[in-house]
Amino acid sequence: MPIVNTGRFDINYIEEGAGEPVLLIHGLAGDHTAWLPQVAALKDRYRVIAFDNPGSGDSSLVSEPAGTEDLADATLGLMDQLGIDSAQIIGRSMGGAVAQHMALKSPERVRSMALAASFARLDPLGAQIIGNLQQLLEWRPSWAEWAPHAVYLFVSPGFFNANPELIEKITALVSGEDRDMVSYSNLATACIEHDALDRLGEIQAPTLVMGGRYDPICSMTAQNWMMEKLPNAEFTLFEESSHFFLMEEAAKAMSTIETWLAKNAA
Amino acid sequence: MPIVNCGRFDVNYIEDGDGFPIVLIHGLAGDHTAWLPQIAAFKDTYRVIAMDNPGSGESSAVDAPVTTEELADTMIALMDNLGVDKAHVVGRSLGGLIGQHMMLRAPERIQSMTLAASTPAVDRIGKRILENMREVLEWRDNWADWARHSAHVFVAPAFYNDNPEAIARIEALVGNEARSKISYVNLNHTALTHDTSDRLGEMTSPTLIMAGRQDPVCSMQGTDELSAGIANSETVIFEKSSHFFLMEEAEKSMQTLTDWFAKQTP
Repeated sequence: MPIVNTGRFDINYIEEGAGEPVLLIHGLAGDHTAWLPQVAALKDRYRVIAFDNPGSGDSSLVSEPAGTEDLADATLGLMDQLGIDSAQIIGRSMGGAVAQHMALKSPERVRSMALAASFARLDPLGAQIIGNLQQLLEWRPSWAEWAPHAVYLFVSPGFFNANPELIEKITALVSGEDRDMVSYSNLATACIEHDALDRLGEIQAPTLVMGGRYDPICSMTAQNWMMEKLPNAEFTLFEESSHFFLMEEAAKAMSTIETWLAKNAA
Repeated sequence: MPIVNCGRFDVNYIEDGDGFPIVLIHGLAGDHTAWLPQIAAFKDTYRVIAMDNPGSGESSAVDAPVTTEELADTMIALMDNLGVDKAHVVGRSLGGLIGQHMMLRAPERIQSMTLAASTPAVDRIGKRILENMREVLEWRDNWADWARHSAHVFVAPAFYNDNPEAIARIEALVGNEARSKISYVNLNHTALTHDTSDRLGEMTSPTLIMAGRQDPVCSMQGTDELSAGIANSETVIFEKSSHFFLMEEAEKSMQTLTDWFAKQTP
């Protein structure tokens, strides 16, 4: 996988397919592999780019505080390096927060924006949970101890109960001890401090907002706040899901995204 | 408040009003004050009795393991002490687990049973959450940290976000440093090991099952099992609520209980 310098951060990315560019930005606790199903589904029609956010995977660490604006600069820097003028952007959770700043900084480079389980400002519950997860890691600096306190928040009770093997797999994944704790904590702070809500009215790009009914981290409160402010947005609710509806209701989520991208293609 | 001996445990209780008896059994993290709204609402028509469970409030500590069967015996002994032959019993969460064994051990003492936020056996996500809560208490050894890391599962996201004062009250209540930690740890284990899955058919008392659609602690899985397994039951779902629907949807839940008692009183 290639690594390119984007200024403050080096970014590790993958790209597949040809066509109009689609850029995928993962969330706080992931890396580019979170998007492998989407890369596989979209690469026959689009040039699909997924990357490790700063602080994740093989990209630079986030050893000092960084805001979502800094992450937006890094992502725009990646687009520069790849010769991409404009792209359809899909961001999940923190990745959606980054996408908002990309649209605010360089509206001409964001053809459309899809915000999956994301937020323009965390609601009180979301801020409490992200703060709790950050605090747990301070108390017990072990991803293996941290994981069980996080994973049950990501999926609905029904999904958790019905898919024990998958839950074990996700728990093992986020228990990976090579993840950098300082980066995580700095990025958790970036989420808590992210506040683009009062500026969403400036974003003219067509926007798809997707939310999970059971999501406590980016709850319907935060979804409704965004829908009230975004001038050019539509909303899709995932009735049976929490924060991970891209996996919990995978078929519906994929077809929602495919329809969205097709509609907004040039 | 009077304290009476009920065998292994001394039990602190209050009673108010005259009429057909109602016995209210609270959950793992509460004490008799959890029922003050119900006492106020029903004391003009019924003799309402609420106790501190063993391990809570002014009742004996639970300094060694205890089962829900034994706690059911304690509650029946309390009824003996108070000269209550038969009662409407209402149990929430752990209180409902105890109520199930009261139906199995002394059906002749149960005029009706209400199981609020209950389950025949704690399911996978419920177990995860209970284990997380015990871990946080062991790691931190104080209730304030525990409260901040627990309150979010008790109410639905929208309630949490819309009612900051109620959340502060809940955190102050369950963060009360006077609570016995050893009792909590023992009772947490009591809940984890409760299992009446194979005995629901033996529960013949008229039973009202109430559940919060968004409750991850006692999720819809357990609710569905109770509804299917207890033949003489009716089920009311609180769509907007989690574990604390008696507070989250206070009006609807109070009306449901009012109608239930009226229908079931001889």
